[in-house]
Amino acid sequence: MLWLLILLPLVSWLAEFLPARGGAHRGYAGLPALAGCVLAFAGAVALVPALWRGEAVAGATLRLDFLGCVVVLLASGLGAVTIAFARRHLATAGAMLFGSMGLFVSAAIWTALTDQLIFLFVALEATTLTTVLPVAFRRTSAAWEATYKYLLLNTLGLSAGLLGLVLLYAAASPALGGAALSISALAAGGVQMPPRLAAVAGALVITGFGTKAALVPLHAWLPDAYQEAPGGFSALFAGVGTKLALVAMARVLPPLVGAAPSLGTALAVLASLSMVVGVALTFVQDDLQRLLGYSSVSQMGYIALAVAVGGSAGYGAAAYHMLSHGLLKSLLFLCAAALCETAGTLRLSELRERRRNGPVRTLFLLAALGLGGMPPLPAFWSKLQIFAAAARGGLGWAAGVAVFTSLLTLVTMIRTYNQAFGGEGDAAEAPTAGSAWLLGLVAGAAVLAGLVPGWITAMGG
Amino acid sequence: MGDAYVRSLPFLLLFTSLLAAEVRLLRWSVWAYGAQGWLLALLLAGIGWFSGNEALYAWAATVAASKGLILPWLLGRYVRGGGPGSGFGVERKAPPLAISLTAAALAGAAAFLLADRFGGWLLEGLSWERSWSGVPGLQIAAAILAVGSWTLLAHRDVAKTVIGVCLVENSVHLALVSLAPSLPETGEVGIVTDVILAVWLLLAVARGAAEAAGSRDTAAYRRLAG
Repeated sequence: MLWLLILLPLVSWLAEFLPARGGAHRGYAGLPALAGCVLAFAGAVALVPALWRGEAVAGATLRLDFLGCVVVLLASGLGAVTIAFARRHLATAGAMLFGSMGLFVSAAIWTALTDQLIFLFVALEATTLTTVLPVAFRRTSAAWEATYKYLLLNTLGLSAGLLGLVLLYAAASPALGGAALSISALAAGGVQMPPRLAAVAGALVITGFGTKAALVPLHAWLPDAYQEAPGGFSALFAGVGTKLALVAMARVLPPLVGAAPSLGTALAVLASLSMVVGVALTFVQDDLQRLLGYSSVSQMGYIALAVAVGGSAGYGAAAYHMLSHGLLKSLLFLCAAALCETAGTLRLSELRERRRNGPVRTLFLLAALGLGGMPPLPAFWSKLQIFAAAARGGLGWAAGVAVFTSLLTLVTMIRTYNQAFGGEGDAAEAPTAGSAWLLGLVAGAAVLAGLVPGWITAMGG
Repeated sequence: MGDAYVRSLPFLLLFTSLLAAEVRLLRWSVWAYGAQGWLLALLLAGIGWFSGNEALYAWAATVAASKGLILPWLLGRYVRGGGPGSGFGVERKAPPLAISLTAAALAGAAAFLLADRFGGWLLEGLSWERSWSGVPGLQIAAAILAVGSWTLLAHRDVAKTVIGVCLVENSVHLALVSLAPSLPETGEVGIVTDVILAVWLLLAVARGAAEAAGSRDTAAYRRLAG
C-alpha cells in the first residue's frame, strides 16, 4: 500500500507523455498528474485511522509515522491543487511541467516514507532533480541562472549529507549488521557512536540537508528559485520542497545528537539565524515571490528549531508547523500567481499604486495573518508548540528569538498585504477569481488545521 | 608488486584531478576526468582483489560505467557542442595556468596532509583504515575534494565548474567506498544514478544559461553572485 502512494504520481508522469505521438489534446495535459496526486492523497487519508490507532504501517523499506503522514498529505494534496491551478492559469504549461510536478510529488512521498538511509538521500536528491525543469520553466536568462545556482548548491550540499549518512551507517554496522541501513533500527538505539565521529557525521548532515532546507547561511538558492518558478509550481515548491530536508534531518539526527549533544545546539543556532535573517530580508524585497521566499527561509528556522529540540514534543511541533506553513505559504503563492495574472507584475512598488478587491485579496489577508501567527489559524498553535518545546528543552534563548521573529513576521505580512492589495489609487481590476475555489480549498484546510490543534497534537504524540 | 601497483593508483587519481581541473582545453580536461573514472575503477578492483573483499567489484563496475563512460560522454558531448562563448575565451579569464595549477596542487596536498593527520582522530572508532590495505583512500578523497572545490571557485567557464562538481562527486564516491565498502548494491546504483542525472541536468541548464546570457562565463551570471 505504501509503495502505491509513491507509484501513483510516478506512473502519472509516464501517462503525461502517452498522447505525444498522436498529438495531445490541450485538455489532457496535467490530468494524469492530477489524478495521480488525488489518488495518493486518498490513499494517505485511508491510512490515517491506522496511524491514529497507533498501528505500525510499514512495508519493504518504507514506514509511515505522523511526520511522514503530514508530508504525504501535504505533497499529494498541494500537488493536486497546484496542478489544477496550473492547468487553468499557465497557458504554456505542458506534459513536461505537469510530469515534473507528478515526479516531484512521488519523490517527496518517497522521502517521507523511506526507512532506508541511502534511499533517503536518493529520494531527497530526486526531489531536487525533478524540480529543475519547473524552476527553469520561463527559460529567461534569470530563470536559467537561478536554476543553475539551485542545482549546483543542492547537489554539492546533498553530497555532504550523503557522507554524513554513510558515516552513520559505517559506525552502526558493526553492532547492527545489515539493519544499520534501517532508520527505525538506528533510532531505536543500541548504537554507541564515539562523540567525535557523531559530531562529524552530524555536521555533514546538518550542512548537507541544511542547504536543501535553505537554512542561513546556506539559503542563497531559495529566493532566486522561488522568484523564477511559475506561480502554481512555487506554491507546491514552497509548501513541500524545503521541508523534506528537515524531515530527513529529523529521521537521522537522533542517534547522532544522542552521542554529541552539541549538534542540537548548533542546529538551534542555525535555526535562530534563519528565523531572524530571513524575516529581516523580507523588509527590503520588491518582488512578492522573492519576499515570500525569504519568509520561507525564516519559517524553516522554526521547523529546524523544533527538530533541534527533538523528542516527541519537538517532532510533533515540527510536523504541525510543516502542515500550517505548507498550507499558508502555498495559499500566499497561489494568491500571488492570481494577482500577477491581472496586474501583470509582482513588483510591490508598482502594485501599491492601485487598490485591489475581490476574493483573492481576502484569502491573501487570511494567509498573511495566519503566517504571522494570528489565532485560531494553525501557525499560531504550531509556533506556540515550538516556543514551549524549545523553552522546555533548555533552548529558552532560541524560543525568545522565535517569539521576536513571529512579531516581525506579522508586521512584514501585514505590510506586504497593504502594498500588494491596499494601494491608495483607484481600484484596479480584481485579481482573477477563476480558480478561487482552489484557493478556498487550501484556505479551508488551513482553517481546519487551526481549529483542531488537539487532534493533531494527540496524533503526533 | 601487485600491492605497489594498487598503492600507486591513488596518486595517479590526484594527478588526473589536477589535469581535469587545470588543462585549459576542455576536451583534454574531459579526457583527464574520464581517465580518473577508469583509475578509480581499477583501484577498487585492485583493492578488492588483494584484500579479498568481493563487494568492491560491484563498486568498480558501477564506477567504470558511470565515471569512466557515461559522465565523460555527457561532458564531451557538451564540450563538442560549443555554444556561445565557448573555446579558450572564458578560460583565459581564469587565474594564469602556473598560479592556478600551483594553488590547486597546494590545496590538494594540504587536504591530503590534514586528512592524514586528523582523519584517524576524527573518525576514531571506525574500521576504515583496516579495510583499505594501506591505501590512503580518505586522504586522496580529501585531496580530490580540495582540487574540485578550487575548480568551482577559481574557474569561470560553466563547463569547467561542472567538471569541478564531477571531481567533488568522485571524491565523495572514494570516501564512501573507503568508509562503507559493504554498502548494498541497490544503494550504490541509486547514488550513481542520482549523480548521472544531476550532471546531465547541470549540463542542460548550463547550456540554457549560456545561450540566454550569450556567454559561458559564470561571472556574467548575475544571480550566482548573491
